[in-house]
Amino acid sequence: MIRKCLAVTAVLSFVLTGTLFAAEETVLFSFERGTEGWEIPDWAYEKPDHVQESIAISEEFASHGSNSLEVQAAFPGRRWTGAMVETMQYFDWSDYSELACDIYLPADAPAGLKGKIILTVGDNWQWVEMSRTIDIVPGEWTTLAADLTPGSIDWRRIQVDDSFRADVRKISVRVESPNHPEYEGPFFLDNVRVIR
Amino acid sequence: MQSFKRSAMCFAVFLIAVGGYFLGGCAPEEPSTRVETPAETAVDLTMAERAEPVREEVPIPSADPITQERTLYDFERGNLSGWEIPQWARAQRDYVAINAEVSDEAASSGEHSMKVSADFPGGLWTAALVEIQQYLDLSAYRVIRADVYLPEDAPMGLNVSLILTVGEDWRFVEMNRSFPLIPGEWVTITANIEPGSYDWKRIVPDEKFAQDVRKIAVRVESNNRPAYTGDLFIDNVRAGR
Repeated sequence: MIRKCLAVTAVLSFVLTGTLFAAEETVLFSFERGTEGWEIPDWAYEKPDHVQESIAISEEFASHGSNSLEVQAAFPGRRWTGAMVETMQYFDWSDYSELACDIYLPADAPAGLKGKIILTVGDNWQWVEMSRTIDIVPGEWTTLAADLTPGSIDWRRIQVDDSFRADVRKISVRVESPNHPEYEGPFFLDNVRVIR
Repeated sequence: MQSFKRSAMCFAVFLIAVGGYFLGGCAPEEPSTRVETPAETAVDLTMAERAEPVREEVPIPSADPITQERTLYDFERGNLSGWEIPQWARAQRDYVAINAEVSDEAASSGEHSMKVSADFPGGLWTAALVEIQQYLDLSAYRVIRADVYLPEDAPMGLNVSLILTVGEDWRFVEMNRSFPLIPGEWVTITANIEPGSYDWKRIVPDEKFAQDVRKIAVRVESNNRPAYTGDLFIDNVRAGR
């Protein structure tokens, strides 16, 4: 009897703990049901320094579920170029402290590509880039993460206050080649999430 | 008759003019109660300015204590958050940092810090430098601080300072002093970033200085001595006001 009670308690604790930890993160996009509104913005097609070519759902790599968003790009090297994808949607992340997503670059890709998240916020649709880029390591999932809380230093040219995270209108992810390397091939985006 | 009248008028005008001249010349000078027109004042000021050198307002940093700090980097997330040994430093013989990684061997905040392994040969000036490239607006703060720890068995004589890269032209700005590291103790480096601060070499910060910080670097130096091969720890890089 005691053993049975202990076993039930252990199972309950395990389930409860799992539920609590799972509640810490909210997955916004994991591309299990298509591109989920993500696209290459029209203006980016027209800019010579933006080198994304196409997007598609892929089962090749995933950091959450079994699919990710595959972005084909052709970075020529020798000048700054970026590949960008985005989704337009109104978000209120007042209850969350961090935004994150995962980027995968195939193992045979060169080192040197960098990634950042860009948000469009507020009534005046302010374009707000992360204040730093994060090195993308070939053959590994790299997490891009940024603090959303008031006073955050992770965003450029803005004093982050409570209104910042309360009115997000676009999420964009940009992979950059700052003069080097040259790379033609895919990268994968998955598990766009907010964390309490 | 008409010519007589004309002559009399001319004489009268002459008498008035002469009388006025003499009376005016002999009258005591009265203090002027005339209000100067703005145009006249402007002329006077311009002349005064010409007479004295122009004085520029030099801002003075506040002497008030720092009461509030915000941690910028404390290495608690299991990664260096972008801190690295820059490529240019790896290519220079006088820059001797070998590796940088997160460590739980020492911490001044939380449980982790950045461990930098270095090889100071002694006998010449060498330095270990780590930096982060990030666009920061620190204009709401008055100081930048970082804690640096040298293990107990390390020799005395190493010094540490902060270096910032600021503004559109990526200006490399070193502190004008360094802090001696004491083996076995956490040493706090403090640099004032307020307008008028005297903490920086070859520059007195203006209002824009802290608004556009693009890199923060920590440099540990051995000026001919000591020789030291080992680790040092950096933690709790923060801004204060």
